[in-house]
Amino acid sequence: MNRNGNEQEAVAKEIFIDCRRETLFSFLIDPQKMVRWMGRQVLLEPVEGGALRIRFNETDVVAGHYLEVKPHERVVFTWGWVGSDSCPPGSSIVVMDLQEDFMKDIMLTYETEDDFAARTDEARMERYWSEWRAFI
Amino acid sequence: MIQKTLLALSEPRRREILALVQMREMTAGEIAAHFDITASAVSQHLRVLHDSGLVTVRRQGTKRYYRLRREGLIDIKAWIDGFWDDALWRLKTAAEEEERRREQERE
Repeated sequence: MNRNGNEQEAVAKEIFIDCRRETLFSFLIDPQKMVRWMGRQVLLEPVEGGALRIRFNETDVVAGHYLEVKPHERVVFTWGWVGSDSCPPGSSIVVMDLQEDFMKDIMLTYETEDDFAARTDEARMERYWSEWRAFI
Repeated sequence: MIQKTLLALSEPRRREILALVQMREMTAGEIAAHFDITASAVSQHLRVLHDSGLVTVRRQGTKRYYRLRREGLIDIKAWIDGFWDDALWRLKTAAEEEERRREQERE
């Protein structure tokens, strides 16, 4: 249930990325790197309770704060659109897990929970990195 | 369309209207009876919902019957889905590029 007492609906995402966990982790905490995959202007304070602000254009801005920052393993932050009634800041949670690959090296799991319009959507991303790099 | 849909959903009364017409179609008058706002205000809300693809309207005689257009909500789901698909694909591309660059530097 979300904070409005409505049923949540999840969206799960999985993706395989051919890189070391440390490399990927830096794209979740470094504004200069995050801007390469999300938003145009990014301000990040990657510590527990630290702020997160992602500007996509003149009007669309996501704001939140980090709930958990575990180096190379897990990043959790709140998510929501500034000025939105249906999905305001704090209404969603994005969870990104980076895990070891059972095959060999690294498996990264990236989860996103996104509460939207009285629903919660969960995106989940997984990344495997094998010695053969055959997954990509 | 997605911007229109998001804007339409941002108004609490419009969300209430959607809840009303979720299971059965209703006339504007029947919908207005559930609110303490003017019929013209309800009519305006219905127009916004229709323009954003969240309700369908069926004309019969002089009456208009409104019903939830479920595809409108699916569109939003698809938009959220696409938003993360695009973002994660860019993340994959950027992270892999950086990894290759680091490897080259080490060689």
